[in-house]
Amino acid sequence: MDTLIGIKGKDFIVLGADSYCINSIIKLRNDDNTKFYDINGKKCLLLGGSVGDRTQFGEYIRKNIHLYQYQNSTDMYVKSFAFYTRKQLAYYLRRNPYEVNCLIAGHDNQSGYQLYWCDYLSNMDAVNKGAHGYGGYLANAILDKYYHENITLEEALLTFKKCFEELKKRFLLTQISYELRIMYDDKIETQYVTV
Amino acid sequence: MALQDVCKWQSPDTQGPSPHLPRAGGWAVPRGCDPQTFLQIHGPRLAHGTTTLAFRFRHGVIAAADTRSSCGSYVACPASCKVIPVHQHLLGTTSGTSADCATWYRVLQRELRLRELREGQLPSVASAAKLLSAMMSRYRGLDLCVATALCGWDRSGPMLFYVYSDGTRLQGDIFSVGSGSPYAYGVLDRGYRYDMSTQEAYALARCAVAHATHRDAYSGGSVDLFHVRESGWEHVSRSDACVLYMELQKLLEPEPEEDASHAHPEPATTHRAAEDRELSVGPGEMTPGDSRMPAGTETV
Repeated sequence: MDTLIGIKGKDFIVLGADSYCINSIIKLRNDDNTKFYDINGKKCLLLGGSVGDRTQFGEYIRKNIHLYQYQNSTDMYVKSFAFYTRKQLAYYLRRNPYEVNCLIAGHDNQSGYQLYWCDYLSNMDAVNKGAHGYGGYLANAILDKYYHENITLEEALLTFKKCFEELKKRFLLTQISYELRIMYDDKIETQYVTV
Repeated sequence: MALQDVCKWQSPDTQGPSPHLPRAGGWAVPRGCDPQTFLQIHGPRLAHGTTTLAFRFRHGVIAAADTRSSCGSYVACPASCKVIPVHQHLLGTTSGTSADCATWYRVLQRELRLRELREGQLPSVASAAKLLSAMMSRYRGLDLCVATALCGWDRSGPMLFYVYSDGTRLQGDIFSVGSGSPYAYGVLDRGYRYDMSTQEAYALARCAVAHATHRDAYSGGSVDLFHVRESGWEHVSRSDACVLYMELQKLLEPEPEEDASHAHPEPATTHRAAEDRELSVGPGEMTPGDSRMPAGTETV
């Protein structure tokens, strides 16, 4: 089960996910970097769930956002992007459902940095912090405790580290390898963390 | 629920695919019942028993598979070939439903050939994988089962992709697919290095499949070995799985095997004794739990 965690501050967003690709009891890859879908360098879609569904859905959303950009010569706002993703999940929910949980993050000039939490039933909300998956159960309380309105990037990264250590200690599956996407200063950086 | 009542929404009765799904393009699907129900009611019990593996290393990509086609508990064919050539530099190991694999590989061969004619060069392994994945994704929810590893050599060197009909498409160095895959992974992961020589790679692949056929009921028959080099693919060997496993045991066990009448418990225990010998235990000692059953004892 994928662990997805996200924290939004006033001028940054950090998204983190475990870097394992699982099929039933086997880890197909220990360095899976296909959970993040970066779009135009300013938006990021983090997906968790079964590999096939997240691959198909992620590619589908990313390409449609690109299509919007080419058709309209302008980037989509993050809010539109999030609502579009949710709408697509909802459309397929009662037809051919995609079992993916999402964290949608991005920056635009209209509303700054935004983070949206969306689950596989297409419930969505704008949040300051969020987590998905079994690991998310353990992480949520840590996020609640250490998050505050004026959290800095360093504090956020420390909070992530606390979450990962907690997962290492208490989570049944050994998840020690994570990938982070750090969005600040109009760019997206990738970091790999091993606990 | 309240909203349902207000909107007078009713859940659909049938379990069939919604009319919003794309039509099975080109294939005739029986009208009236959807493929899932049809197969459940009328179809044979399809099993996905196999061991296939593929790994890439410096000198190319190795593909190995067993040759047992099973249909439930019946061995439909003990000598089938689960590695399908797509073109001269691309092979696919197949697992899942044999019919689906065969069909989709024919489609893939056709598509790649058309692209080669149109574009003047063969698509890369990554494109072939994406093509296969995209074609199969149109049939999501219709119970296709194709789990395949595409092994090829293209402009970027040896490449290996795992494609599954649920939409998974992963690049990697080692993949093993099928019911025997956990056993094969165990052997592969311990012996794999990117810088292996070709002979080492052949030995590793054969060893992994042989061990998997030993443990997995749905794998067996022979071990097929293919190698994709820069110059194209080559069928290296087909060796009987049982014979191969016995030979691997003999390599580990210096003494001759005792008492041929104890066919099954014997090789397992001597194998484990040999392994322990390699680690730390002295010769002739057995770890607890390795009790050899004397001839007259019957256990339920």
